[in-house]
Amino acid sequence: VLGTWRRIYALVLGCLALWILLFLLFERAFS
Amino acid sequence: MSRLDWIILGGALAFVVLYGLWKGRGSRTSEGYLLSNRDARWFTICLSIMATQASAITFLSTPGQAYADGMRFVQFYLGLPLAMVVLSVTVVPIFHRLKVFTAYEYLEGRFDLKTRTLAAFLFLIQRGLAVGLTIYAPALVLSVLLGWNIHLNLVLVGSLVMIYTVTGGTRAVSWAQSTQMVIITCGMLVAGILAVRHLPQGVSFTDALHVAGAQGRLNAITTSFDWSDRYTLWSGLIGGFFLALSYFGTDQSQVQRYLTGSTVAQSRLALLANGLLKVPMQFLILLLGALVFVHYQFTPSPLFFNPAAVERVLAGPEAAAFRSTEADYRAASERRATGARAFLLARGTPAEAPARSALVQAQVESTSLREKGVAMIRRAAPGTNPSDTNYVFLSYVLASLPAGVVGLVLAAVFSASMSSMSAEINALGATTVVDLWRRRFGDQGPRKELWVGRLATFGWGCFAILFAEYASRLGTLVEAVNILGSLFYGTILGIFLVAFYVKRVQGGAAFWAALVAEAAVVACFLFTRISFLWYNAIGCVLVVGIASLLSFIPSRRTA
Repeated sequence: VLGTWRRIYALVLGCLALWILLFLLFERAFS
Repeated sequence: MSRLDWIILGGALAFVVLYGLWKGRGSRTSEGYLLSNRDARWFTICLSIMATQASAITFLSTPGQAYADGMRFVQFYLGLPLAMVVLSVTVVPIFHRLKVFTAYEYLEGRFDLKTRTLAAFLFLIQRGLAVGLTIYAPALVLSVLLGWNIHLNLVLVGSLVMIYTVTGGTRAVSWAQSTQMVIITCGMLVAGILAVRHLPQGVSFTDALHVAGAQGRLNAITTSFDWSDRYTLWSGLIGGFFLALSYFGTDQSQVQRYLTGSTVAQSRLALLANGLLKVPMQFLILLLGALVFVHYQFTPSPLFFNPAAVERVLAGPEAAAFRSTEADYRAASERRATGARAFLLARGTPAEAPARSALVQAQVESTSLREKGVAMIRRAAPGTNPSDTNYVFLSYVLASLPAGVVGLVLAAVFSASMSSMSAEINALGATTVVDLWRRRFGDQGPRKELWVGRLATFGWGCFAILFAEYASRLGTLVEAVNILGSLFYGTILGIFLVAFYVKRVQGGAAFWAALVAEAAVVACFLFTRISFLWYNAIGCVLVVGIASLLSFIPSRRTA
C-alpha cells in the first residue's frame, strides 16, 4: 500500500534530520 | 608485515576470488551475465551498492581528511539520503517497467539514438579513466609505505578482479562484494576499537574527544554559506544531492546494481537502506581519523606522512633547512603533548580556558612548521600535489597496530579497491555491449551476447590496468581525471530529468542543451573558483532550462 512506502521515505528523511542534529550536538558537547 | 598478516591478507583475497567464481558460475545468457537474471534481494543489492561506491581511497583518505581538516567531509554525504528517496519514487519504477539493461537504453526510446549515444559515450570516458585510478591510488600508497612494486600490485589486483568478473559477470561481482563489505567492516571496526584501546595511558575515549574537539577536529557541520567552501551543510544538502542523484541515477556502475532487483520493492529497499547507512558509516570512519589525530597529539608524528616526498627534499638543496624544521617540529610536538595533558587535567576547573588556549597555540605552532615543510616539499617537486592525507591512516596502522590487524586492514583496502573495480568494468562491459555493439550489429542471440560481454569486460579490465600503469606519469592530472566525473555528471542528470519530467522536450532539444550545458560547466571549472560540488547542480539546471526553452522553438518539419 502507498502508505507503507511513505512511512519508509519519512523514516529515511527523519534519520537524516536526526543525524544532522546529533552531529551538531556532538560537536557542541566536545568543543 | 608479519607472517600472520600475509596469511590473513592472502586468505581473504583468495576467499573473495573463489567465492565470486563459485557464485558466478552458470551464466548462460546475456541477461544472466549482465543482470544476474534480475533475481537479487535488497540486502545483497545494498551491500553491492555500498561496496561499489567505497573504493580503497575512501578508507585510506577519509581518516586522513579528519586528521588534517576535521570531520567536515561528512557533509558531502548529507544529500545522499534525499537522492535515494527521489530515485526510489521516480527512476526505479521506470527502469523496472521498461526492463532496460542500461540507463542509457531508456534515452533512445524517449529521445533519439544520438542522445543515448552521447550519454553512454560520456559514461564510458569518465568511468573508463576513473577505473584505472581506482586501483592506482591505493597501489601508490602501498608502494610508498611498504616498498611494494607498484606495477606488480596493479597487475595482481587487476587480474584477481578480472578472474571472477569476466567469467561470472554481475552475479559474481555482487556476491564477491558482499564478502568484501564484511572484510571492510571487520577491518575498520577492529582498527577503530584498537585505536581507542591504544590511546595513551590515562587518556579515556571521552578525554580523546575533548582533545579533538578543543582543536576543531569534531566540526561535523558548517552552517555558513560559501560558494568556494567545498564542505558546508548547504553544499552537502544541495550539491551532494545532485551528485548522488547523478551517480546513483545515471552512472551505469550503480544503476546496474539495482537493476538486478527481483522487484521494484527490492531495488527501492536497497537504495533506501544505503541512504540510511551511508552517513553514519562515513561519520565513524572520520571519527577514526579524529582518534588518529589525538594519538599523534601525545605521540611524535612525522612532519609529513609521505616518505617518498620527504626523500625528494632531502636529496635537494633544502635538505639542511628541512632537517632543522623537522627538529623544530619534534620540539613543538612535545610542547603540544604537554599542553594536551595539562588541558585534560584542567578540565572542569577555572584553569580550563587558559589550558585550552595553550593547547590550541601549541597546535598552531605545529601546523605552521608543517606548512613550512610542505612548502619545501612543493619546491622540491614542482607540479606534484603536496598532500599526505592518503598516507596518514595506513602510517598509523603500520606503526601502532599489532600483527594480524595490519593484515586485516590491508585486506580491507584491497577488498575496497577490487569491489569498485569489478563493478566498474562490469558496467563498462554492459554499456559497450548494449549501447554500442547491440545497437550496431542488432540482436545476435543471448549466447553470442554473453561472450561479447565477457570480451568487453576483459578489454576494459586490461585498459584499467594499462591506464593505472600510465597514471604515475600524469602528476597533478590525476586530480583532473578525478574531477572529470563532476564535469559530466550534471549534464547527464539533466538529460535524464528532462526525459522523466519535461514531456514536451524532444531529442534534438535535449542533445543541444546538453552540449551547451557541458561547455558552461567546463568554463566554470577553468575560469571560476566555484567548488566542484556545485558543477552537478549547474550542469543539470542548465540542461533542463535550455532544453525547455528550445522546445518552444518550432522545428522545420512542423513550422
